[in-house]
Formats: sequence, structure tokens, C-alpha cells
Amino acid sequence: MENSTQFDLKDAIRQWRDSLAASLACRPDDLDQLESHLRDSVMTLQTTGLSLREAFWVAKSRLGTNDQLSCEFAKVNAGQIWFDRALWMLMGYLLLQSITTLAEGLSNLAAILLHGIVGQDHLLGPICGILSLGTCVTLLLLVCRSGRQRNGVVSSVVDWMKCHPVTAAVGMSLIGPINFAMTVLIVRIMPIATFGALRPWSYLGGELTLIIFPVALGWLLVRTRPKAKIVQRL
Amino acid sequence: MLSKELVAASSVPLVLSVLAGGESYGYALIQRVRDLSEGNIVWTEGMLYPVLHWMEDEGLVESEWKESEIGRKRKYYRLRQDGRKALEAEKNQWLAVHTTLNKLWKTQPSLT
Repeated sequence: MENSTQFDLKDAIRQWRDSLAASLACRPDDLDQLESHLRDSVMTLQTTGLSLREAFWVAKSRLGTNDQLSCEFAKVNAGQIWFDRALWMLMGYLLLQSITTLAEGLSNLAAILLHGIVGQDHLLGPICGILSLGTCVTLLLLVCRSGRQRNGVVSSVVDWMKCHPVTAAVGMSLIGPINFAMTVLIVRIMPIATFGALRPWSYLGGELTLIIFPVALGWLLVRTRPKAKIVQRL
Repeated sequence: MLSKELVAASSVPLVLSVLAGGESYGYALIQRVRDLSEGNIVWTEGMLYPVLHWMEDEGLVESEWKESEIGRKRKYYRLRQDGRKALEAEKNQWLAVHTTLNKLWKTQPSLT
């Protein structure tokens, strides 16, 4: 009989819970309930003379494999799973839209400052182009880097947006009007020829983002793919 | 041991019947059924929860997180009015099968 103090029940339960959560079939409430059951079961099994580690493994196997549980919970939580997927798609679209608009907005801001304050019209195009492209690439990289897979749980900027819906919604809805206002300002203060020469550069970032986006998405998916399943031995 | 199909079919009437005796939580429900059946009805324990979830969606039972006597929170279930009606219907059906089989077996003692 091994020394039960070597076995960290809290850590074992956290790992078991994380791997079950990765299937996305169980709601947090379901996981709480299963955890409560597992703890009850471990407690009872220990009174029969099993070590903590043995009690945990027996309790876990009695509860059922992750595949069995996910399959059954997916049936009763079908609506919730569908909603989560739809939300992911919507968030992804909004995020892409916001990134391109933000990049265009920043290049607009640079154009206003360069034209109005510095008066360097010949530098407008390249600087705005580099700025909009740089912003898009940087933001896409940040979004991809935010995707993590720890103990089977995928987290990303989308989860942050789900947790802070008001901040995300206000932020995203402000980017568009601000960008529009800056475009109006540029049209008013800039000679039409300068504006015409500037426009393609400003769009550079946004257009290239549409090309970079599938690559970034592929990277995000690779980073967050499910790891090989651990074979459960009892 | 019961067959897989019979375990699945009997889970709802068993849960309804245990809850008819008062509120309970998942782990205790499973233990009670295991004890009463003398180990003949053994569920894959986690599978009970989607069933309870479904029964709650159907309005047969209601649940509430409550602190247990050991200080940890547990989700307790109790019967609702629709659950009592469903239990009556289940009871009639299972008794009909039971009575019929019993009569058949009594007239054919060689089978037992």
C-alpha cells in the first residue's frame, strides 16, 4: 500500500475535470455535480481500506470514461453546444472586422497628424500603409498567441470576450464610428489628389489581413488542437 | 446483473421512486438503488446525471444546490407534480409486465 500523502487529490481532480471540460459537452454546473459525486465516491471507497490514489481511480472508473460522459451530456446539452459554436463564429467575425477597422483607423490618424501638423504629404502613403499592415499583423498575432491549451482546456481571446461581453461590445462598436469620423475629417482637410494617393495605402493592411487571416486561423487551430488522449489504466 | 437495455429503461422509474421517498442527490440515489437491488442494478455512475438533467428539463424533478452535512455543496433533487404523475404511469406499466410474467411463470413451474 503506497503512502497516500504522495497523491494530490486536488490536482488529480483538476486534471480529470479539465480533460472532461475539453469536450465542451458538459456545462460548468454538470462538472461541479460530477466532481461532487467523485469526491463522495472517493470518501466512501477510502473507508473500505483503499489508499487515496486507489480510491480516486476506482471512483473515476465507476463514473465512466470521458467519451461515455461527453457523449451522453452532448445529447442533453445540444442547445448549449450549438449556441457556443455560433458564438465562436460570431466573435471571430467581429474580431476580424474590428482588427481591419482598427488598422485603417490608425493609418487615418497618422495621415491626419502628418498632413495637419507635420505637413509631410509625400510620406503619407508609405507610412500609412506600413502602419495599417503592421497593426493588422500584430493584432492577428496577438489573437493567435492568446489561444492556449492547458490540460485539455482551450482558452482564447474569444473566452475573454465571452466573460466581458459589455467591454468587448462597446469597444467594437466604437471602432467603426471613430474610423468613419476620421475618414470624414481627412476628406475635408486634404486635397483630393493627396487623398486619392493615400487611399490604396490605407487599405493595404485590411486587404492583406484577409490573406493572412486563414494562415493565422490555421495556427490558432494547431495551437489549440486536442492532445493525444491519455489511456486510462486501472 | 440486468442487461444494458433494461438498466436504461428502468433508470427513470427507479429515480422517480427513490425521490418519492424524499429529496436526494446523485451519489446517494445510486447507492440506494445498488443496495436495494443487492448489487444487481449497477449504473455507470456518471450516466445518471444526463438522465437527471433530462428529467429536470421535462419538469419531472427540480434541483437545488445545498450545503451538505459535511460542508460541501451537493445538488439535491426532488419530485414535482408531473414527476408524481409520471411515477404512477410507470408503476402501472411495470406492474403490468411483472404481473403477466409472474402468472406465466406460475403456470409453467418447470421453467424456474
